[in-house]
Amino acid sequence: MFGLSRSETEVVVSWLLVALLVVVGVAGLLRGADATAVFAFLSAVLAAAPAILTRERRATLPWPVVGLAALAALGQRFTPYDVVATYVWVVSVTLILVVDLQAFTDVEMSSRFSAAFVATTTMAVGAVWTVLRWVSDAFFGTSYLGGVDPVMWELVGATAVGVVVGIAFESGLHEVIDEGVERRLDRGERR
Amino acid sequence: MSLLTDRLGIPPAYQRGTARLMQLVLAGIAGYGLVTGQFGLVVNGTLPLLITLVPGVLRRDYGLPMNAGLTLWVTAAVFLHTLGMVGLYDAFGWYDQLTHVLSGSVIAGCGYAVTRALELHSDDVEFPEEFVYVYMFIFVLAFGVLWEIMEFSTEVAARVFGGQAYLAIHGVRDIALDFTSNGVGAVLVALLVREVRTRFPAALAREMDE
Repeated sequence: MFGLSRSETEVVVSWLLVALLVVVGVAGLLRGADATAVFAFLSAVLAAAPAILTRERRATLPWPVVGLAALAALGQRFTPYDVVATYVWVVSVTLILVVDLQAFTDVEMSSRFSAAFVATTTMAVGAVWTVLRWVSDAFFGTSYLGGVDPVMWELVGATAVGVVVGIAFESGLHEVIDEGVERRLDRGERR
Repeated sequence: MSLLTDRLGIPPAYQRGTARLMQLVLAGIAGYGLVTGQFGLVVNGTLPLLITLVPGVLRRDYGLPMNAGLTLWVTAAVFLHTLGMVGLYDAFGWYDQLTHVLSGSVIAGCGYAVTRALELHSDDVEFPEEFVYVYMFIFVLAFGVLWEIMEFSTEVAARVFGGQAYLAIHGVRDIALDFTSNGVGAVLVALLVREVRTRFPAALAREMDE
């Protein structure tokens, strides 16, 4: 799935998925600013960051990674499984970050560490997301958090998604990362 | 971490003595629980006591340089937690946050040690300094989630099988504040490690030049 050499088609597909994320974000804003719009925009920006930072149209992220983010955005917007979709989104953003970090900074991860990184980061995002919503509930009169039980089951879900995807991607993920790194090196740029 | 000895001038013997005293109190709590048949006290005395023994085992069996300060750090974190379980959590609202800052800092220290060790050990892994600080923070937050899930599972188990949860979650506010305090502990350790790793050697080198 990830072993494909990068063709022009893949670059186009990757950009189309970024565009899809932007569309979902705009659609969210039109219905009134909400969290899912922020998610969609954030993943679009992170996915486009390499291309923007290097001013290189072809420096896109592998399409399966952006695709996972798009899938999560659609899931949040159009399905009743929005909580699950949120953590799929978290995992996809973590994957985007792993590729970004590996390709554009001095960070190098082994496949096993990438798996642990994806899992722990998903859990950490679950924690940060809980704190942010609590702050909003406590000080701005919103009511995102229902009670201990829904919050805890959500965190259990986040952990499960993080661990499962972390393990599932352990072998495939590394090829994605290597591909991203090679792409950057192909253009003769310093990491 | 020779901060306590070098910077604050506390002799290692005092640090070891303080840690021993805390261990004695933990053993006392476990013993009291055993005698009076309070299983919760036995668990909350014994488990932390076992954790305080970890630095000693690491030093003896694996030759890791664990000094008196590190042992005291770990012991103080679990000791304060146990005192909380015994009653201080209910008595003071801020006490929970204090223990979470401290335990967050211990986990951050472990996270730092493990990431650095991974980097030294493996050729496939390379982390710049800043990444390690960020990852410490992530590691601590993830561990906090794991901890809350553990607390929650004792609660669910208590609901299913009856009985009382040994680790209770008091509300959404508690969960949010726990995570925040853990994060604060991680940031403190990151700042400290940064200080010790960069500024301390630099200052020492300046001293040597003069």
